[in-house]
Amino acid sequence: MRRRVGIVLVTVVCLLGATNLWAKTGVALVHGKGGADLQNASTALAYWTSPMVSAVTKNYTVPYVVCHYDGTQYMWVAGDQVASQIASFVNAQGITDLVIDTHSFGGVVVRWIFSNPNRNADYQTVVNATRWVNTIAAPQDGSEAADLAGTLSGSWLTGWLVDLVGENTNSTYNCRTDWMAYYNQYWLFGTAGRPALPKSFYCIAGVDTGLAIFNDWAHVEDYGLAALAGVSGFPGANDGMVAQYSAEAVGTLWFETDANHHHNRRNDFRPIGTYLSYDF
Amino acid sequence: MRLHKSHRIPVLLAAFLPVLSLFAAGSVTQMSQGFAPLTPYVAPRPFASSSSLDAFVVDATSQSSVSVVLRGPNARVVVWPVGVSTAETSLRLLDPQGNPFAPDGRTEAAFAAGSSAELAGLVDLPPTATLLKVSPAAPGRYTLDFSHAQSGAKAFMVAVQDGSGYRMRVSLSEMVSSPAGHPALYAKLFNQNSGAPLLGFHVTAMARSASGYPPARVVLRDDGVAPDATAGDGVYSCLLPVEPGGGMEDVKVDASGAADGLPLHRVGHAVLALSERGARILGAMPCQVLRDQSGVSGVDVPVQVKLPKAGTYRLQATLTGRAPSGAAVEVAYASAEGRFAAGPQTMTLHFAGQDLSRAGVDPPYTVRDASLLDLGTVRVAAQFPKLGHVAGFTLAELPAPAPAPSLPAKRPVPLP
Repeated sequence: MRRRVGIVLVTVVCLLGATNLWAKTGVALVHGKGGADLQNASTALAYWTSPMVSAVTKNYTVPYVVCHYDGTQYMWVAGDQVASQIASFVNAQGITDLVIDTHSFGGVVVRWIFSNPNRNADYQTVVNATRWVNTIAAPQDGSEAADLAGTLSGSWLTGWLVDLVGENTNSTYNCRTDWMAYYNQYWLFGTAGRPALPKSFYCIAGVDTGLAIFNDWAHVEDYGLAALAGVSGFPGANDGMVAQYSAEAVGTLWFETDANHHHNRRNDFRPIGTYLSYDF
Repeated sequence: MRLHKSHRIPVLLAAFLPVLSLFAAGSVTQMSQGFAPLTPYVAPRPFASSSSLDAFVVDATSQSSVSVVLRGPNARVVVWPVGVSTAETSLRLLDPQGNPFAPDGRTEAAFAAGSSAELAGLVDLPPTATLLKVSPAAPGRYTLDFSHAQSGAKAFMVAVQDGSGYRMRVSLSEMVSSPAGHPALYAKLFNQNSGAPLLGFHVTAMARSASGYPPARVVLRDDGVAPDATAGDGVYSCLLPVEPGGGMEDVKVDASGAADGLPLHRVGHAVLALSERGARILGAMPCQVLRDQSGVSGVDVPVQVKLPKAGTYRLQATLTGRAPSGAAVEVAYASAEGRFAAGPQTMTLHFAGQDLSRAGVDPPYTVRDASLLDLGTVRVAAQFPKLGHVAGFTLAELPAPAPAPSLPAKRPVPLP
């Protein structure tokens, strides 16, 4: 009798411990919009920088994948590429406890995946394996900077605005406030009045105001972001590219940062990558 | 070798642990019947955007200067040469009296007494944009002088925030144009500080179609003739002559006039999604109240649609009720999706009983804001504002709502 009780106890303990004992954790990084060359792995890694990836993965001890997709395309085109890469990573590594970290438009791309999990088997795999999603400065309600690009759009759009906002691309249209209003109304979940997302989203927002967003005078991007913040007409705090209200439109606020849009995908001005590694 | 009987179960468990852990990792949430726990009900809003921006291009081959109107504190002007990579250091800004602003100064002495100006960055540094932050003493015409430009640029982009409260708010009567009629476009011109309307403006809109139609330019009027509701209220209106066909329509609105005796120009944008030609939501058939031994387990609402072509479609709709206060309350959201052949089809929306009871309001409920999505092309194929009513049971007959999932805890981050 005692032996049987012991066996039952061992069985219960094993069952209770099964989840944590055998869950394999991994992390996926999903970049924002940009050029078509972002579909190259090396360009995507440069987007995040090695110190950022190292910090997020606790010096590469957590299995990771840096997604790389054409940064000029609509969210569903990007979503197909991202879902395919994450699903391959999950299947190859046996990941059952995935955290997804996104920057900027990457947060919209991942929200597309979680709003349309039946699109293909890769989408299902990603949603199944995910613990939660962290979005850094995602333009969930659009970006006034992208609106500005639309106002100035066409062949005239050039110079620094090309680097910062992108050219007259589908992803720039995707990020405009009017287009995101349409997508939020019909296609995406998670905003007010729409169904909840199937997994938790945590948001991180840049909250500097006005022109005080020169985080690092060595980066020309900081000047461009300051110019954008000055003329884009952001309603309230922003990181030079995405307003606080938009970054916090989906999910639960994790933390806010004074790092601008250029630096909040890096681990330099503020240790954003170190904060993200708190998940592991 | 045979295992001792008492060791078999633990060994078998150990062997199956990886498999068990896969099941414990979670599964896809059933998306076809998603409840939206977000109340009060937020009806889909017509799109609206505000603009205080003026933006234009200066042809540097024929113009050596351009006039910009600056009105209030913290006005901003951004200028950058087109197509060249060198910084523009010889751009000059002249105040209304013709006094030059020193490009190397960050001082307040560059303008007349009572004014302040700041050169914020960018002039002698790459990239090539120049940002001027100006606080004029009074509204006036300033001059951007390109005559000494050294960059070789053939054109300059200029964007101006004039520092005033003059705004243009652009809105559409609907986000998606149905085959039934043309959407109305509204542009409200007003002073956000006083609320006063801006009258006598020339307002035009151009719809650039993504579906292949040539651009259509229309004039918006504030004359009280439909679709304009009231003459002289600063809201300029027109019908957009767009046709169903699928795709996005980009609408640009230009308003020109005068305020305080100075010219005022505003640019605004809106986007419109066109329904697909031949796609229709025809209507809902009588709902079916599903019952089991414990009460009402759910409600099915069959909806008839007409599909122009075979493909994968999603039908979605929201169920709303009335709170005792009379306010509209969201009760539940449901969707149904699958692959269908072209022609008339029936898609059934299923509202689960546990979802229906969450809002705590009695039927009747209204099935509203139905939209048919073409998942292949990622376009809204058709929409239908109000499909019908759900009734025939009471709140007391519904099962208790499922508990809301708890939010996982996150480690706090130290503040900088």
